[in-house]
This record gives sequence, C-alpha cells and structure tokens, in this order.
Amino acid sequence: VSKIIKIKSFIIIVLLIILPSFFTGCLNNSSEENEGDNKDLENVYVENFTFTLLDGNKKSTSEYQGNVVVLDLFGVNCQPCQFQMMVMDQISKNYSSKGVKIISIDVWIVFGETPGLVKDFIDEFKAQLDIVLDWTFGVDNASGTIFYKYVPADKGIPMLYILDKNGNIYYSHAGYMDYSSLSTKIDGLLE
Amino acid sequence: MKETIKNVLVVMLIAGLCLPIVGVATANDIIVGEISISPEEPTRLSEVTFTVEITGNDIEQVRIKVEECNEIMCYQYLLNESMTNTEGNIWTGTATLIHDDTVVGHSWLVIKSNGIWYDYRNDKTTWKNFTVVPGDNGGDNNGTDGGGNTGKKTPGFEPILVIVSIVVALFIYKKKRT
Repeated sequence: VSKIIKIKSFIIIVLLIILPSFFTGCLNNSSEENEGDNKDLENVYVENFTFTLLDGNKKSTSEYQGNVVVLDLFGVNCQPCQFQMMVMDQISKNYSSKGVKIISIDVWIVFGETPGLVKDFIDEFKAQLDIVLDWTFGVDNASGTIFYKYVPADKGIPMLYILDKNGNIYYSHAGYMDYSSLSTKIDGLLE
Repeated sequence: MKETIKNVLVVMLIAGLCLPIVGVATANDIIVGEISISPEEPTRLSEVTFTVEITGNDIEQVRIKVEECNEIMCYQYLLNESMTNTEGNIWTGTATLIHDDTVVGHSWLVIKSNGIWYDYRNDKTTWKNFTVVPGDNGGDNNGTDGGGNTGKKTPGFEPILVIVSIVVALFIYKKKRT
C-alpha cells in the first residue's frame, strides 16, 4: 500500500511540475522573440539569387563573392526604410573603400511598387536632402520571391543582412538599425 | 448657312462614331474615392472599419489591404479583408489590427473588375495612413507574457509558476509522507 502511495505521490509531483511548463510554453512565444536579430538565419548561406536592376538588367548576388555585402530589403512607401537609407548612405561613404558593397532591393514590388517609383525615390533624396544614393539598387519580381524568402513572416522591412565574403549570412536584423550598431557589426566581420 | 449645317453634321457624325469607342474605353475606368477610417485613430489590436466610394462598371470584388508599421519596421504580413457593397457605390469592410506595437497603418484597395485584380497601393487617394494609438490592450505590456507579435522582451511569470508548483508539490509530498 505504501508503495502505491509513493508512486501516486511521485506522479502527482511530476504532473505538478510538468503542467505549468505546458502553460508557460504557450505563453512563451513572445519572450523568445528577438529585438530585431534573427539568430536562426545566421551562418546560413544565402543562395545566390538574381534581382533586376533599375535599368532592367539582371544581376546575381554571386557577382559579389569576395566582398562583404550589406543587403537592404526595403520598400519605397515604408517610412522606417527611408530613415534606413540615410544610415546606408553613411555606410556607403565610410565602408566603400574597405570593399563593402551595398545592395538595396525594393521587395514591395509584390504590392505594386515599380522600378520607376524607386527611381523617383532616389531623385527625391537628391532633391530634398542632397543625399546621393549611389550604390546598387534593384527590385524583386512581382511574385515577391526575395520578399517571401528573406523577410520572415513575423518580421518586416527594412530587413538587413550582412553577408561575409563567401556569401554566408553573418548577421541579420529586421527593422531600422542605426549607424553605430550597423557599423559595429560590419567592423566585426572586417576584423 | 448650308456649309455650316454640313460642318455640324460632319462633327456629329464623327462624334457619333467616336463616342461608343470612348464609352468602351471608359467603361473599365474605376474611380476610387478616399478611404475613410472609423475610428480615425484606432487603438492597437482593435477593429477598424473602412468605407470607400467606388464608381465604375463591372466591379466584382473589393478587398482592403492593411499594413501595420511600428517605429522601426513595416510588418511583412498584411491584413487582407473583403469589402461589401453596402449601398450604391459605397463599399465597407472591417479588419482587426494584429500587432500591439503599431504606430502607423496603411490601407489601400485591390479591386477585381472583369476578372482582373487591380492594386491601388500607389494611388495616393486610396493609400491612406492612419495613426494607431496605444489604447488599453497594447503598449508596454509589462508583466505579461502573451503580448503577441511585438518581439519585445518583457518580464514574464514563468519562473514564478514553476517555483509555486515545486513548493506545492513538496508540500503535498510532505503531507502524504506524514
């Protein structure tokens, strides 16, 4: 009889410990969310993909092998992306000489944005802010191939990737990132 | 006089020939009014009603797309709700905001006419920004851990639950033994 009681007690204890874990597991989905970084995407090789330049020509990311690349997935009508452009401008000015390449790809083509709209966007930066966005600009296709593959469903744009010289994802970040944080990450890779 | 009448008849004939062509060309034209939003400043996670006047023939379906942006990014996932023709040319639809850190929303229409979907994303008259205010059910979310999709790290109560369950378990075990 005492053995049965012992077993029963043990089961009750186990259940009491495990049950709250179930509930906490259900609640835990937000606490493990990141602050913009996507750890699960780090050290993953970015399959080379092709995007369309604003003049209609195609370009492959494979052409950037050997360079550190900052990939900025943006949308013209996304306000945080506009602020991110100013940071990218600073990155361009300070890191081009170190071999860092910037690629900005409009991924909201899937929502109706056009290469013409991106050109207007670049012109507006020059006219309104006297900022020349002089790095590589491109667009995704109308199906949103790049958008759906590289912008996680629970995240958004701007979506930044830093790729090492072999094309591996060294760092990724969803949302606006200031110059200091972004340059620190790039420095970490260049060292 | 005779010449004038002749000219008028020629003009009428040309106009008569051209008008049906123009009519066909404009039959597919859809005029979309500005989207009105109720409430104008919705709270996070709340239901928003969108109303818009659309004139044009062959409008088969209308959907409202809603994008939510927080301070640093615009979310990938869009709300995509159907609108109904409530009266005349007025279309109404509702969508429930899904993020608890939204500060700005954008809404625009996609309209199906003659089997083709038209996206009015870049039509500034329909692409409407609206400001979202924190409200009671959003914001800082301190002390809870079920706050949705913010990605914010907020203090949770999981360790407390675990500690309480261990204490209760020990208490029961001790009681059983005595």
